[in-house]
Amino acid sequence: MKKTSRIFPVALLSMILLMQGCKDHDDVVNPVNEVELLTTMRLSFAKWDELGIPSQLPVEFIWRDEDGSGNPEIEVIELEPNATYTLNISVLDESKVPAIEITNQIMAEADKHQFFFELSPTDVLWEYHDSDANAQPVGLETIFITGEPETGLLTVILRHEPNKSAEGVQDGDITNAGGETDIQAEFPITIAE
Amino acid sequence: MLHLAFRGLSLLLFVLTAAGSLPAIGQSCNYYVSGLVEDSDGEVLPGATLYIESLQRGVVAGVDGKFRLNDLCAGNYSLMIKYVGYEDQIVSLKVPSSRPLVIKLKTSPRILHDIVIQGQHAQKHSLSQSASILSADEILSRRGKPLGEIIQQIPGVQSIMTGGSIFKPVIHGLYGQRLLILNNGVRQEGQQWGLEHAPEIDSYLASEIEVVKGSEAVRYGADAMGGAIILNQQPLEFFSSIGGEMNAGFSTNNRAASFSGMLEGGFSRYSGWRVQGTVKKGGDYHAPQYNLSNTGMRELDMSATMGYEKNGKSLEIFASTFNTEIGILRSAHVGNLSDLQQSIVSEKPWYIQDFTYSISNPRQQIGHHLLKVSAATKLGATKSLGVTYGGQYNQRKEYDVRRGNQNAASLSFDLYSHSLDVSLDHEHDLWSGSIGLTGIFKDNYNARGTGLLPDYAQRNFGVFAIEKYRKNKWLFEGGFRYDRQHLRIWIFDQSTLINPSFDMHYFAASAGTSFYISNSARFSSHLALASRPPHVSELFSNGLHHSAASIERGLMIKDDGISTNVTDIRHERSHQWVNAFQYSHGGTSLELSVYANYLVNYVYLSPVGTELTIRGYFPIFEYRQTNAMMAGADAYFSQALSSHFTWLTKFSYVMADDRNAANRIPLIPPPQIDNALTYRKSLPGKWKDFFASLNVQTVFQQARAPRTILPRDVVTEDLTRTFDFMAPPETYFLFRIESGANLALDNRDLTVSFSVDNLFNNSYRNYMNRLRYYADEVGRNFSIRVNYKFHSHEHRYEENK
Repeated sequence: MKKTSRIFPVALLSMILLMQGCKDHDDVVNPVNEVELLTTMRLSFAKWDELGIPSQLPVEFIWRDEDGSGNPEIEVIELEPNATYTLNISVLDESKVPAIEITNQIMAEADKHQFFFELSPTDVLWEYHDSDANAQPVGLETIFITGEPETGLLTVILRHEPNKSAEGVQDGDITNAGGETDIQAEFPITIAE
Repeated sequence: MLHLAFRGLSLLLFVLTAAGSLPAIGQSCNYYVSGLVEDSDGEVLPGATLYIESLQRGVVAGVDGKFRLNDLCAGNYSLMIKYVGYEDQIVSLKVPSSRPLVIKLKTSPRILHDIVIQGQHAQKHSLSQSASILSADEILSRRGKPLGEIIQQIPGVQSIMTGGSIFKPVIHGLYGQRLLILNNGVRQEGQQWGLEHAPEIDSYLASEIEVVKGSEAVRYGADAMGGAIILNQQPLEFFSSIGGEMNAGFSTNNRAASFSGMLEGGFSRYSGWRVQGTVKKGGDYHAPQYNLSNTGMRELDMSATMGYEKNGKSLEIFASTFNTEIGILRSAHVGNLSDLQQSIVSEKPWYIQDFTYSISNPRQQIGHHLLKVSAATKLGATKSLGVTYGGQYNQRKEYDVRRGNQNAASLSFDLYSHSLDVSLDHEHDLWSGSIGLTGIFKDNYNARGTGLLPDYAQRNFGVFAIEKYRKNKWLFEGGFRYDRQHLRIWIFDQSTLINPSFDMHYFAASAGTSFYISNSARFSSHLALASRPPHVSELFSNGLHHSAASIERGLMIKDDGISTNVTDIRHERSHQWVNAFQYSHGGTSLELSVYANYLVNYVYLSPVGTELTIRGYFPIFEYRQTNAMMAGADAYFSQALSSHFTWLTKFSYVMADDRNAANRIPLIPPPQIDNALTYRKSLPGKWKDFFASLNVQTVFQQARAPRTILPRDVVTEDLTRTFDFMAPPETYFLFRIESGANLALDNRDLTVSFSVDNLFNNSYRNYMNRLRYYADEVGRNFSIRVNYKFHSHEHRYEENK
């Protein structure tokens, strides 16, 4: 039994060590649904004047789902016909205090992100107005040119890790982009005087 | 364990034959013959069966290998000695005889799939259950594969897969919290609630795997409601010199290599040790037409055992550590329902890169660490007491594709558990049984900022009693168990932390019988009732499950908040009837089991709707409860066609029927048939036991799958009935060839085998693989396995040392 008496203390010690690993449940931190929740997207359209200079007072439209509960607040985009706009997008996580500016993270990993726009009005044109380190578009800044008055839908899509070199992707065609969808937000849009 | 199992039948045989033997009239019939059964190394073989065919009488050797046949008439007899794993031997016997017999048995070169005969050892399963044992050979042919893949060889056992490296066992259609894994005598406490969570066990550790296909809830509690997977290490042998084993395996498909080594020895005649370790590394798997990017894995495991045994007292200490990192198919990470739709309609995954060993997000990182201390002692001639403590720490981290820090886990759980099992076993005449109690402490912690599952503390206490009675060709058994669970959780309702606690009581009962039709046929029937409260995950999951791109909600997450009312917890109850017939004679072996299981409040996870987020539409999955009937059959048939050829057929079928509505229950394995032809031949010279086999597996389409609603239609369809995003895959056929041979040298043994899985490189999808929405299954795979054993049995401790 001598061996046993030597083994037992070792076993007991290990047991205690295992138990000491246990933490206190009362340190529970409010779990967020996502490490990185996207709650808000702000589109700011700056209308160009006759000289091609964007306005200092852009119009802003918001898609917001503050608590991620699935009841978003969506504003109607109202643009003037036959006008040119610079669109800047910002993305926020407003579930945290203070809100986290996700736009900066997108910019920091610009080569891994690209915005796409799907418009049901046929008379609106858009093109990329920015690029990442590889001279490929990101879409945080774009140019929109409106045509005749009409109403429809604008869907803004942000893809994470798309294949930017695939056919058509640099021209804004999402078909071959791949990657996973970080944002797919639909806005009603009205082009009117 | 086979030895013990065999002893069970042997005892029964003895009981039933001894009763029928009457002394012949007119002769002197009060002679006896005694002796000892041992192996060629002089090691005693406890529980060997000895049988005199002409008298229809038998006896079973004791634990010390000794036997005694009483009331023999004078004359000549032939005595047959059987012991599983050893060649049968026939000894001529002259009565009266003056000297005790010493019978030496030779190891059988290859164990065919012996009829599974249940033993009567206390820690074993019910004798009337349907169970299968994977022998060392069968394990060897899949060595290095995940545990769940190895046990799929047993009919009635399948897996829910997540890619090529994650196999979650399914027995008779039941999985997750309903299956217990008993690893070396300790109940495995891991994170079995997730569909993409595989058992956290080094498959090289087990020298024998036993699967009970039916409820073992009476002995092990509600965790074993659907069955038990029992993994056993080789018992320690106390040799003065060092013995050991080395395994190496290589696969071409994912360019994987695995190595496992084991060394063992003795400190003295009464104590010994063993150390073991495994290392595995694999890169991306390949489907026939493309690379399955980010499906690599690595694993590092170690274990150490120390044992002591003398005068009926024993002590064992076992410690193990299991660590793995597994990549999840990159293209299976989707952002929303539109992405899922895109994956389903496109032929290829959207992310295909060249082969690599590196693992990126999404990935899982899992650690499981175990300390077991067990002690047993004999209390007199008929009783023994066993105590087992198991301390476990399981850490699971899941990493997702995200911006910024790739090393911030999206989900992180730390589960600590302590279990204590005490059992008092008795065996007296025709009665045997055990009473026992179990205490389990479990604490789960979430890392800061990750959700899905709440923090919880669970305290379980259970008591049970099992009794068996053997009479002639019959065996009867019955058992009862009571459990109490105290559960406390820490969860946020809106943004307020609440910590409700729940007290739950539940019961299990079983009754069974086993009838030995003849020496080679047995019929058994087992009825079991069991109930369990749903697991914390099934009750309180709430949040985004990243890797599944879904929002999951537990049963207690109501529209108006989180319920803290214990009466809202509806226990799942199973009513199970399993019948098994086993036959083994000459070259024929048959096992057939037929079962029906009526489940009240059966818990399952199903998509129920969508939620609009800035990412677009997200599927919501809810845990639901329904009444379900699961019935099915599985069969194993092997027939020797000639001295070289053996035919084998295996079959599994389970039908699940939702009794409440026109619903179909998801994730029920489709019917499956395996047919194999094996050629065996003893080669001249040192190489022997050559074999080559061809196996054809047919997996049918799941005809009873939930209806299909494509992701793009989910927002508009009525979702009250269960559905799936993709139609079940069509029937497919897989061919596998395998060949091997054994080289036996003095004290050493080398086995080499070679196999090709998916021989024709078929492209197919598997209904039970959660990644079937995204990519094809693994293509052709060549594997080589080498097993080398060395033992120096002559260096035994001397008796007088």
